[in-house]
Amino acid sequence: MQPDKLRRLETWLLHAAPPKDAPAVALLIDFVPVSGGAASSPFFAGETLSAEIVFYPSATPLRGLIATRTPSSAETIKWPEFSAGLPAALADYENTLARQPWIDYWPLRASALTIERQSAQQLALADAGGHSVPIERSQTDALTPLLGLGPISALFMWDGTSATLLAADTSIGRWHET
Amino acid sequence: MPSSQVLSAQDLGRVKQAMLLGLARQPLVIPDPLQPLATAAAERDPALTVLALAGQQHRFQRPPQPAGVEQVPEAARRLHQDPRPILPEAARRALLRLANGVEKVWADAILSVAARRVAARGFRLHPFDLPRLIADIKADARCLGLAERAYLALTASAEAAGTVLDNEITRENWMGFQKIHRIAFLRSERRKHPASARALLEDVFKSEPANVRGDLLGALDVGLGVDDLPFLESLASDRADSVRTVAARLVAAVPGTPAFAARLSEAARCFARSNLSVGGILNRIGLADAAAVTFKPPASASGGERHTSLARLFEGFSAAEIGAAAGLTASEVIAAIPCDDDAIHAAFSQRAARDDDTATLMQLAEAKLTAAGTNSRTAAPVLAWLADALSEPASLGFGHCLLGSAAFQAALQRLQEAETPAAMKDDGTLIWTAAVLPTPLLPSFLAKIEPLLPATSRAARAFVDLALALEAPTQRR
Repeated sequence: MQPDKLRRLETWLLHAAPPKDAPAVALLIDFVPVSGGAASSPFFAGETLSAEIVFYPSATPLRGLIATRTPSSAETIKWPEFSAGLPAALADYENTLARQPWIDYWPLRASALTIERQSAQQLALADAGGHSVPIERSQTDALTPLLGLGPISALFMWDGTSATLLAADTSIGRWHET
Repeated sequence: MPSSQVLSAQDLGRVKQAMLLGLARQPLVIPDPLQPLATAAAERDPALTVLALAGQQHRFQRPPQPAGVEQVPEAARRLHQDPRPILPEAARRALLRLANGVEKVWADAILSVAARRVAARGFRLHPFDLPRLIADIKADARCLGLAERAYLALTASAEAAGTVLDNEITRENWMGFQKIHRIAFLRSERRKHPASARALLEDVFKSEPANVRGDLLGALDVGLGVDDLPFLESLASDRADSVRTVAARLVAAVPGTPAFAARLSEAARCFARSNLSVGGILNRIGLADAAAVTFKPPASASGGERHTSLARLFEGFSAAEIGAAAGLTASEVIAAIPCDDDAIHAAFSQRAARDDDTATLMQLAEAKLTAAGTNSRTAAPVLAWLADALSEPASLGFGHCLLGSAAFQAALQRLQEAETPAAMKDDGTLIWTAAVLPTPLLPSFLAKIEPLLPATSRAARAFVDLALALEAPTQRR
């Protein structure tokens, strides 16, 4: 909820097979008055859709709108390939920040990760190279079942300080932030 | 820029807010640390200088990150080593719909029944759903397999954290489990071998804290016999009052003692064949098989004390025991319980649940269902009680009786005729009917609730979907 009494609804879209140099992630943002009662995204977590997304002009395009939507036949589609480990993803963040230093957070993608514990209430995303980034503490309970699970492929928000997992492909199915 | 942070988080927030809203709407206040730099570049718009410098700080200054990670906890490993397959995806979706749609007041009980249904079909919950479901099911030992216990050990209390994470509870490892599991295990062992289960408890009794001792001791109420008396009587001098109280209660309930026999005799005298009733008259003239059984409470159970007196008198007795003492069958005793009684019904129910006596549970529930129809009361409480007591869905016979009962039909009619949002809400009859019905009757139940509004029957439908998805053999992983 925002100070202006608007509820901000964010829907993250991940491109299943992004063309080179095209954004792989889009963020749909809707605002609804808090006075209107409970509101939720028109999509459910993990939903697959076929659509054309147009992006707001930006040096680092992220926020988008659905321009056209076509029926999607496949209920579950293959999870896209991501670079292995954290360094490439964090480098992507640095590049984005160089172009747009004021962004609050940026979606990153990486595979071959594991969820690890840094302390009782602090989880981290880690890779085999010994790199790790702390995960937002509000997600500790929700992500505890991913502890001890084999390598995962993840889409997460990174604000330079902590990661917020948005979705992950794991050996026992997909996990989604809801 | 120096390595220490020049702009505070508040400074940065104000700069961002001004830029987002527009400087005309919220004029930029140049943060104090940037005043000299903005003044030095007087030829430029100070807003651009501030924006650039704030961006540079945002880009290059990061708080130090904690390094290193701990070893994967054993409980996390065990969570994923549960040998049961994860429930099918269709069942998982239905379970989550149920969790989101069920009335809060029923949530714990319904989700526990649902989780037991999942476990009974040999599946386990999806690990990713445990954060959503665990609070509702953790009080019911029957819902907690290895994965669920491991998740609790990872997230919950110190007691849970120190528990043994073996797949099965056995006589060798039972003391490493949480209290609710130990109590359930002791009861189960008592059903099989009362003496060896008591010996199991005696071996560890003194080392347990008072509250645990009392609760474990309470599990001896299953299979209670005179062999238990020496141990129970030795506890009259236990240091904890709670333990002494439980022991005294159990001593009074031991069959074969004079106190027990006197109480049983008094309770049995409440039930008698009446030759004065219509059934009795028909019997005397050869037109009926047996005279009707009537109930007459003892003189001490009258007025405001009736419920308490009857509860005390019938505590621990089964309908079969009372029947045997009165020369009646258990069915005759159950049929003779007055419609408005709760005390005797509760006593028989507790005993039947403790003995895992499903047939008697059904008979008692059927009697209560009939009483609910007669008294125009909702069937929800009796169905909720039955669902909690049963380890499997009810029998086909009971299911037919339920769907044809006056209480169920009245609930359907009331919901169909409802005109206000409050009246359209399921009072529990639908969801609990879905929870107790055997699978073959679920399609017929769905047909009966078809005319109702989706919001009224959402949770009941979700339960039906779950039960049907669990039965689909091709989806088993």
